[in-house]
Amino acid sequence: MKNLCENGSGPTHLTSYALGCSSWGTSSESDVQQSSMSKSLSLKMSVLPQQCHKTKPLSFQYQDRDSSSTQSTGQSYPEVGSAQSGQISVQCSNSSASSTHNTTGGKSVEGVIGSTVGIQDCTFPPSQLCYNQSLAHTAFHFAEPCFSGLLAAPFVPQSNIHHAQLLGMTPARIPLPLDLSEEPMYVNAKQYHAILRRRQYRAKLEAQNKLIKERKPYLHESRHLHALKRARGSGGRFLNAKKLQELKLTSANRGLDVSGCTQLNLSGNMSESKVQAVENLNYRNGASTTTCSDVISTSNSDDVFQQHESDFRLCGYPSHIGRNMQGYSADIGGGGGGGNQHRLSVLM
Amino acid sequence: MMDNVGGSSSNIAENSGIIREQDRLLPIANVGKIMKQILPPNAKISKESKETMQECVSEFISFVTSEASEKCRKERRKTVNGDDICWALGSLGFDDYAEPLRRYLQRYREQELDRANNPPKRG
Repeated sequence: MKNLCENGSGPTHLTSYALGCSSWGTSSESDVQQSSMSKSLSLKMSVLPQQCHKTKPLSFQYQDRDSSSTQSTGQSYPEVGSAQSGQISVQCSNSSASSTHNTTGGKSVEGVIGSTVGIQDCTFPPSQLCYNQSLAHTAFHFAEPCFSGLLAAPFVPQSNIHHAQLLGMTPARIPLPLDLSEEPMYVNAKQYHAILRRRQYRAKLEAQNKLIKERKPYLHESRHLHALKRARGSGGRFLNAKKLQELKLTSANRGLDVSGCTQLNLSGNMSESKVQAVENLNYRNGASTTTCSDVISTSNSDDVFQQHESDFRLCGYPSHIGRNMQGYSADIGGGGGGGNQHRLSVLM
Repeated sequence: MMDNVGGSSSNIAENSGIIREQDRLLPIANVGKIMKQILPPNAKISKESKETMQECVSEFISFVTSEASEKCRKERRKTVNGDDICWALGSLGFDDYAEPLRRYLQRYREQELDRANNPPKRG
């Protein structure tokens, strides 16, 4: 199926433009796998028809760029659009060639857009040479648009980068478009296209509402109920059968006060599920082995806790460090609003 | 081997194509164990740290796999293998990681060959 689509995109630009439209129209309905593949195909194929048709594909390109939140890449497109007619005719003839050359042409155009430099004559022959030769030359081809951009258009930012390269800094930095802040973020030149690709993919997932923003406290209901029923020792950690018997023997040996404290602990666990949820949070964080002041601060910051429950927690403060049991740690506890902050910090 | 999923390593749930949390992220317990290996034995790791690292490593896996998948797409192959991952690390600038991973992959393949040539005897 994919091979037929890619072979079908070879003959004429009109056919590839029609295929691009059809695949773009069905991208919202199909699966993530097909939609991401068809989106990449439509992005690859839609560049070439836009070179041929001036007015109508420009608006399509701008809509695509706006949806993928890459403003400066869209701004760099008029430079490509304002190229000479000779360049456009060369690219049209390139698109009318076989599918292999079509893929090569798309890649070189993407490289030119990435380096924000107009189309030059020297971009096509090196890409074809790199495509025909081995992987080492292909790796050299990825670095080619940056160097050709530096040599072809020596204006102020490029001169700065060229000067940095003269100083011996091998990894050149390309300004990455960032909508949230005004200043551009400089990233590794090798990672530029991959970052843009990942951004488009994440934007598409968010557009389709397929990213779950909130984290579930547990994955399986039955495991959660089983964890609630399990006996817990001092500090809220689970007890295995051996330690449970040892605890019973110890409580039998000691006086009534200690056994009363244990009964309060068990009854407190059984009565309210919210208290146990908070205990699950503390257990998952490992806060059960923190100091007294940390326990007080934790109970103060949480709204669910009350005064007598904080006293109860102090009563159950552990004197020893139990064995680390992580069998059900993945199923217990909740993320809540913290997950959203983490995702925001991760998104570049 | 893992199939080419179009630049993403996450799967699709059965109901309405929503990507679940456990399909998009690594298990948080395993992330915590790996983080604990490098720390002293009495160190503690907060849940916030584990969740942040969980997001980072999951995004990094998708980042590298997307680069490898793009290479497979251009070469019209459907299977992303270990060599593609090593190449993707190199092309993204992680050369310090690509070389140890290539040696790890070679050693792994040698072990697979030894296991195939010498099957374990059944008593």
